[in-house]
Amino acid sequence: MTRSLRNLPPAFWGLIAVGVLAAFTQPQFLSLPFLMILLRQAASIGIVALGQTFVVANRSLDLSVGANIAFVNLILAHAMWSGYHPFVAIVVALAAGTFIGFANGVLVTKLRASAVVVTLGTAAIITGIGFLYTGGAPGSSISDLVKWLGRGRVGIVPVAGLVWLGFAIAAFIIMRRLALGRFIYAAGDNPFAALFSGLPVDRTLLASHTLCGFFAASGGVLLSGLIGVGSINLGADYVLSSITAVILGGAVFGGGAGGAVGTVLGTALLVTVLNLLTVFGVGEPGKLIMQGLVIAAAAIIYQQGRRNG
Amino acid sequence: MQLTGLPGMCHAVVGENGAGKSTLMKILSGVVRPDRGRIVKDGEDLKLHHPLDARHAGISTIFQEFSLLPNLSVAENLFLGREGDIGHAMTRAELAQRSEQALSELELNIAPDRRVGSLGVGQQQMVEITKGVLADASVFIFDEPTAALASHEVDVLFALIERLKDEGKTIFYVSHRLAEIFTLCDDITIMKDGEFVRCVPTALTNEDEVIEGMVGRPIAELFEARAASIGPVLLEAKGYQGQAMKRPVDLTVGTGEIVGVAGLEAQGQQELMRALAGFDQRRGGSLTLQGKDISDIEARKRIAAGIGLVPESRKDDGLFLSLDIADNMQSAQVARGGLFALTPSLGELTRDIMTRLAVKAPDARTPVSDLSGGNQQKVVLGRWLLAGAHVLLCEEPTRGVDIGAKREIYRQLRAFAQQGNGILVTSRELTELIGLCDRLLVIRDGGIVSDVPAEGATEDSLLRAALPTSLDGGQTEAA
Repeated sequence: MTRSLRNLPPAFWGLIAVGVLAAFTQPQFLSLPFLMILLRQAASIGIVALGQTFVVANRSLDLSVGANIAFVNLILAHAMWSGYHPFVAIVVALAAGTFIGFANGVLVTKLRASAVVVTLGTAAIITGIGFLYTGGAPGSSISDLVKWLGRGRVGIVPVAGLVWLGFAIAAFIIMRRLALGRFIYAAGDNPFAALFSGLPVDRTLLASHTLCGFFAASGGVLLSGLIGVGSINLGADYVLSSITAVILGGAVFGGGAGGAVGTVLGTALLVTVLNLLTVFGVGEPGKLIMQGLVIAAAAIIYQQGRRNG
Repeated sequence: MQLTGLPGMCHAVVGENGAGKSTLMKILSGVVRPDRGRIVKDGEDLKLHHPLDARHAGISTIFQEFSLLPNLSVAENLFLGREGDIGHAMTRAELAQRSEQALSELELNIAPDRRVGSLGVGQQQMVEITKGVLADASVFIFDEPTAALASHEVDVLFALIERLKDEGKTIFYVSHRLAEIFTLCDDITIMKDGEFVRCVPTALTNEDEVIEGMVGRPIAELFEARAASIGPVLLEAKGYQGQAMKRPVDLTVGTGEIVGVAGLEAQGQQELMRALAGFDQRRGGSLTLQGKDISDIEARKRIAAGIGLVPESRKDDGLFLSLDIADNMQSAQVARGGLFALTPSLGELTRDIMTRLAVKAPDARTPVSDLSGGNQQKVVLGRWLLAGAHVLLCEEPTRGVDIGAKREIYRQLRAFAQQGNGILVTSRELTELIGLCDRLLVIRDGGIVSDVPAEGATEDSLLRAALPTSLDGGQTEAA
């Protein structure tokens, strides 16, 4: 019992604290309709953060998720799909996003380059390609299917929330039920021990980056539907928020920890806090500072852990 | 408990894990208060209620965890909290100059302006010792000082301890490593189960007697009986050579056989083991496992075919320290499946193996970082039992493990061999190899120079084979 309590991610306690705070100061914040709005807003970032979970647990990082989302958005908004079934645009967009993740994985494993540098590089390249593709003027032909995914409701429940739930279950199964999940945690914790145990270390890293690309693109589809138009630089802030959510969910830099449930809770906490800050009148600068502090604190805790361990 | 240190002498304290060595040292350094008894220094009764009391009494302790501040420079660390003794705040220049002087007196080559956190473990230890010397300590306590050091750092440490002895300091030295104690210490105090066993001058005893004192039984009982008969060949290398190996090697490991690889430090033991496991490209020769040619298959497939590697450095190469026992033990078995295979349910098998190996832990969900060295080693062994390996390549199976756990590991290795498997094992401890193995190979400069039955082998004969002959000795020096 004590161990399972200790293993709860920081976001769990954070959510309880924030819930109590909101109940006393902003009770309308906890009303069902408002929570559903929060859920819709959290879904896209939640899926991107789930993707980020794979790479962070694998001792890597993906800084290209923002560019990935923007690229997906530009594809979905482009007029060239107008003659086709809306499904086609979604498949092409997801394939492109998945390929970005795959390319990151190939570069990180084959070149043995730092994931930070590689994904920063691919982010710049994708952004450039996006400008070429749209000529700097993003389209506005986002299909109704995508808009339904981003904004629609089933009863009072946002469709996006259901999609998020689906991705969370998929991520949980990958991390906890498939060999890949074991490989990710093991290779993330100690790549040398993983190699000497006979684990496919490189293929694991390739798979986690590819999954991250796919998840980021999927988050991009929901976000595009929510926004409803093509927009240069959509999702730029998702790089920071996805990492923050993963860390609040209990992952550590250096791998070997974190998980789907943690990341879902981490996203919920992050989105709730950001909205509460808005309610309290704290602007963008304050929110950025808050997220930066969370990541800095995580980095410090990681360094301390390494020194003691 | 009794313990007497004399000026200019190095006094070793040995015992199994849990024998009370560390507690005794903590009492001497004021960290733990004694229930009863007295501590006398220079004829004076000491009351040590706090580590500071010990420091003022001239007792300096070098624990495995250092008391240095990682973000300050070497010089700042050396003189931290000593402004009072010196009587005035020091200028940067004075600080640097005094540190330089202190370090050079001990012939240490460390820049005083380096940040301590950026130094290696060995150098941090040197700084810690220098701090003790500056504080004019007359008693130095070392608790497992070489546990985290590389071999060249050990040499520097030993030279420093010899200097301290020459200057008339008293030294208490706690270690598992008997070889170190026999080169360094003048007297040995043996402890068992928190009690004093005996104290003997090093010159009048030998390793076997000391081990017997620690374990409380004759040394022959540490090891299991050798194999009665050896079955067909399991692993055979013919002229096999990896890229990192200096020479091609011929060797066999039979069914039920434990083959030891003896040799001086860094004669190619590790290169051999890693090449056989497939972690080094093959340069030539052939390798067969149970009659099947595995010369050209990669490490993962060799592992799937039944080879298991127990790497020397448990923490760096063997364990997933933030994961639990189950994840650590199951890794090799799970690795056999593809990325998208469902994880097999191995809970029961894991528990069986934990019981069989007598892993001391509440359950399989215990993090391996909570385990002692011996239990961690059992987890690495268990990984290969669980994966059903047939040939174990075992590097230094008992490194950093106490005597009780050593005995357990010897028993398990023998049991593994008896079940129709084979083991190739390297070790720095010749007594261990002679007691554990059926047959011994001696490796020198990358080549196998001797192949003898372990029965009847002596440390003397092995060393003779391991030492370079005068002819090629010069070459080794030059290389």
